[in-house]
Amino acid sequence: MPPQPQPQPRALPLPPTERLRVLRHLDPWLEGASRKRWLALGLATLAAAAVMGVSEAAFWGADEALRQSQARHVARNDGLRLRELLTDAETAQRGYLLTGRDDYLTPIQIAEQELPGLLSRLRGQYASSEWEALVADASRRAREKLSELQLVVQLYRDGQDTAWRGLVESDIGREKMQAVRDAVAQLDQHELVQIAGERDAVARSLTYGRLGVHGLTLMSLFGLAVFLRRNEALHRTRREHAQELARERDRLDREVAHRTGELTELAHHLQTVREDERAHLARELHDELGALLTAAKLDVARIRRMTRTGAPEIDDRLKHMSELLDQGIALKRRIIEDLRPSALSNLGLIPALEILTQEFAQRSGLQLSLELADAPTNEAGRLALYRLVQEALTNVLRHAKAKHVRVSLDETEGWLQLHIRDDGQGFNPEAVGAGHHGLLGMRYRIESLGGTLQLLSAPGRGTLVLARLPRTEPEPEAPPATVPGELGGPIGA
Amino acid sequence: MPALKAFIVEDSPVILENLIATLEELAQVEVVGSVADEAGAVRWMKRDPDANADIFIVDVFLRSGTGLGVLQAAQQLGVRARRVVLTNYATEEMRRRCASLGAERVFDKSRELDDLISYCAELAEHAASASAPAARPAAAAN
Repeated sequence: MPPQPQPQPRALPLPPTERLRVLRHLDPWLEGASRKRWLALGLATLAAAAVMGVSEAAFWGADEALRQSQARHVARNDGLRLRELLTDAETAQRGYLLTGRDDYLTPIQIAEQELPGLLSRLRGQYASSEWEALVADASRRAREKLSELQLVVQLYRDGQDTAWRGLVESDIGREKMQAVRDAVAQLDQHELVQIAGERDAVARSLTYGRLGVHGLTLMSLFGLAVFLRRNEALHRTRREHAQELARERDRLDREVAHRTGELTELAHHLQTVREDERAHLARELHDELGALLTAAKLDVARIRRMTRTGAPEIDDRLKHMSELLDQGIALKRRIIEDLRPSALSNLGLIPALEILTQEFAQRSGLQLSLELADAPTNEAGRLALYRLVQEALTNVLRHAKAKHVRVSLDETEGWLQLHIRDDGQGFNPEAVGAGHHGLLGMRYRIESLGGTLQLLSAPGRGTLVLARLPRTEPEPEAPPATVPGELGGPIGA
Repeated sequence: MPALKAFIVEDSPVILENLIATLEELAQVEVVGSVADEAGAVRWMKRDPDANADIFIVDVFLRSGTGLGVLQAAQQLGVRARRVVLTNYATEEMRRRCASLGAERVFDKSRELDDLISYCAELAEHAASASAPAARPAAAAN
């Protein structure tokens, strides 16, 4: 029995590690077998064919032996029957001689009938064998014996008492009888020996067949055990592989979530940095550059007043210079407005939205209604709401073909809600998508502030942009810079 | 000589300095005071709503607070002096708002500086001719 894999560990005498070691020794071979599949299959077929051959040979051998044995039994019976017939006939003769009754003679008649067939069968059985002569001799003596018996009976009937008595008392009959008995005994002995030999042959054949079946059964069991073990190993590998994959997937999921979080944070950070930078730049442009240009403008005005009467050419140049300064200031304003709506940063959200929407109404000719409640939020929130209104109004003008737009801002339960609703032609949000509506950037911006942006629309039903932002306390305004001596009070006077 | 007393609400020192010089030089305006934020302006107006200035020149975008707040406070305090706005953000809507808060004129800080000077000069002249005898000793005293 080969060592079995896992299923029956207690049935094995080897400790587990030892067993595993043995199996490990087998492994390279098994590995090779599973690689050279055709070779393994061929070997298995060969083994099966060998077992089948042995079994078949055993069957034919046994069959032959049994048939011969059968024949020997027949021959042996024939021999015994011969002896029996003669013995019965002799006994019958004695009985007849003693009693003189004819009904004793029946066995002799039976012997007369059976003997020729019996003897010819015996001779046929032993023809051309070492027993042929013996059988022929025994046949002859048997016939002579029977003839002698018949003769004695005949003489008795004829009343020749002396003659039959002489025959009976002579030893001839007894010798013949004895010779037949000896021959039959020898043949019987011979047949018994032969029968024993053939029984041995049958037993050998059966043993070969049995061994072959055992061998094949063991090999099959071994093959099954190996198959099961490899199957188990395969399953284990597959399970481990699946677990490994699951672990790897989980790890990647975590990694992705982590990275996504980082990227969101980074994007938010960059957005903040960018807005801060823009605000800073706008302030610089307004406070410094704007002031310088305006001061220059004032200087030019003063010089022009001084020189206006005397030198027209100089005044022309100064006028041109003043115009250049105007262009510079206009450029600066455009840049500032683009960087950061100055109304928003200087006046606050509500006035800035009022100015934005009124200007939009004038420019577009649309009817606008406003409902703006005070909505405390931080700078980023204010800017996001302002840009959202700007973007939404631009979309209304560009796509909606609306007549009336309603903008409302209120606060409920800690959330600022901004609605921008138009009565235009609307669209199918699923078919178009927020990205195409120019609001994807706004959505990201609102979401990065912890809010939500919804776009509700249907063809013919107008459009509603709904933004929600968590309420945040506005950062405290920078303390007014009251530097001592800095134009704080009346001068002159 | 200066016949028009002006108070300026402006948060940029550079502009303020130049504006004062220009107005005093070209328009016979006496700048009686200036502040850089809304609160200062309101304080100043509260101190004496009538007497101290004839005209308030107000910038909209201030260091803290807004020019609009200054205009509103002036309106609420019943300041009788004229209020004009000098701003970089002279949009139509801003002009409308300022007007609704009692501003007499709104001047763009680039294109309409000359207009402001002319406006002030005109007011000063008007004031001078109206109170020439009274003004002269005050100018001499200055």
